[in-house]
Amino acid sequence: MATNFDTVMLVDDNKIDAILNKKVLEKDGFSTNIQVYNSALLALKQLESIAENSAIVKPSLVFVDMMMPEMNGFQFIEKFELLPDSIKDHTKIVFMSGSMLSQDQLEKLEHNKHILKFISKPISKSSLNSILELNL
Amino acid sequence: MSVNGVSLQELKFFNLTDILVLLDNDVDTLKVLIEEFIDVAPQDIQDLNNAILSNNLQVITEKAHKLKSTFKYFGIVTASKLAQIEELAKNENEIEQIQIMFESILIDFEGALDEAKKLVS
Repeated sequence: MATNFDTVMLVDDNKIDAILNKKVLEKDGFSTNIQVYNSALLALKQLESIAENSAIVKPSLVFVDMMMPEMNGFQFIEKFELLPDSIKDHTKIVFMSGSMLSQDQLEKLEHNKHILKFISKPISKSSLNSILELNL
Repeated sequence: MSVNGVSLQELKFFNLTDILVLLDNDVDTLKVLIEEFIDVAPQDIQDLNNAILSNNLQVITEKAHKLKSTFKYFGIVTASKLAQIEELAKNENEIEQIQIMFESILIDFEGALDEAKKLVS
């Protein structure tokens, strides 16, 4: 697999999940620059900084976990929607969870134009392939 | 296959087959993950215990969810019991049921922690 995305952001408070998922993203050349944030708040701050500084490369994708303390995945999406268009037009969200989602939660994701896909954790090669297909 | 002189087939509490597939047999990253497990999991178990003692269903759900995925990656069989604790707390079941389930996890956790230390010492 050739490198597909220059920069992606991985947002997960669980460090073990983050290390493992980063490795999976790296190993087949899905991305060469994977920025890991163990806090959704910090990731959001970084996106705000990027929006104000055109010299910083915008991530193409943000992999965000659903269940996190302080700010969970759904709350992150709500805040993401308030970011400037310069970010929202460039960056898509891949929503991750280690649990089954309820029908309501799935519908919420399906109707959000910023969400590229929902995937289960840990990230697998097949889920990355499905993202690539959507992005073609 | 062995890690740090310990044969993975001899492990009783860990089953590292699946995680090694995900890691393409990268033993160095496996060791980083095991070190993280040693650093973080005891505190998470303690936090879960405290949440059960204080009947804090929200924190029980969060901690059980986090530990569940960690246990699953390392092939610790009681991952399924953590999934049950998460569901019990989400559905606001009796705390006594959660307490019994939690106590049955501790022996496997202590065994896994001992094995983890041998793998990276």
